[in-house]
Amino acid sequence: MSKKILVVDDSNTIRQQVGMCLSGAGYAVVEAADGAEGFEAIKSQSDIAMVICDVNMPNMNGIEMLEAVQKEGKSGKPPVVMLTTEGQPALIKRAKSAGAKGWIVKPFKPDMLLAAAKKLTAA
Amino acid sequence: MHPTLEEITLSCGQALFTHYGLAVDVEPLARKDATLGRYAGLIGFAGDPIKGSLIVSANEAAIRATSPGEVEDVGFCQDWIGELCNQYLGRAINKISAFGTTIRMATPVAIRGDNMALGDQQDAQVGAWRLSAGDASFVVIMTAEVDPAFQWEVPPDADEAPDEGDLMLF
Repeated sequence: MSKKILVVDDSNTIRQQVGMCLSGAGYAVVEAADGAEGFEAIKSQSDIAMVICDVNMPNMNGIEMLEAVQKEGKSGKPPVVMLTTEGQPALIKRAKSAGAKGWIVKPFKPDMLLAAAKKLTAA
Repeated sequence: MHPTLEEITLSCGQALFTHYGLAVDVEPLARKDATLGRYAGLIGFAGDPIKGSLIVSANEAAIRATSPGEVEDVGFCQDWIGELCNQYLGRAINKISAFGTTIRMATPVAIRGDNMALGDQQDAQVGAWRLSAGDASFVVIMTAEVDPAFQWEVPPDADEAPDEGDLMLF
């Protein structure tokens, strides 16, 4: 059975681009358009193996989503990789403290994204 | 506009469009000539020593030339110009952060229209350029208010931002 990856980004174009890259490598992809939708998906879908998440989004940004997931304190949370245009060290440190497992600066290289997916879903 | 900010703005645009397969030529524009392309993304940013906005506009040829997928409709074009502006400003902010700044970006706003131009804004530094390759044309406008006391010097203990596309695992 394909491993399921949640892609959280407010850009439909980026969700499509990331989704095509992952589905081409055999992953099942589900989408959310902001951090609030992403948080609900993580809470309600226990089979999500990994999350790829933007930072700057309306309603709830990616760091706030990470912090909300961390606050829930549930075991078995999926690993989250941030995929964002941001690369400021202070923001990366904040994401790491909130439980992020990786960081990629857009525009992404497909081989790097797939390397992260392979490593973090290999449970 | 301070030469360092101008250099950052232009080098980030050239690098971004090169990533999407366009080797662009740069032409400075007078404010009155900076009429935007049909699609425009704009994002505000704010931090301690600097605040402002970036506008990246494109004609349809520029959207088609950089799009990662088939150009579907107007909604797709607006989504893509917003994302391009986001990637452009993200690069610039990452370079500016090397000078010891912490800056927050807003989310992009994408608009569509004909003959769009900026109004007067006397209190800010403004740079406008056309970046083009063949039929593909972008108009980029960086507006910034910088604290006069700010020095464009890299502090010795500055952390480096990762490069675009690099993967960091924790």
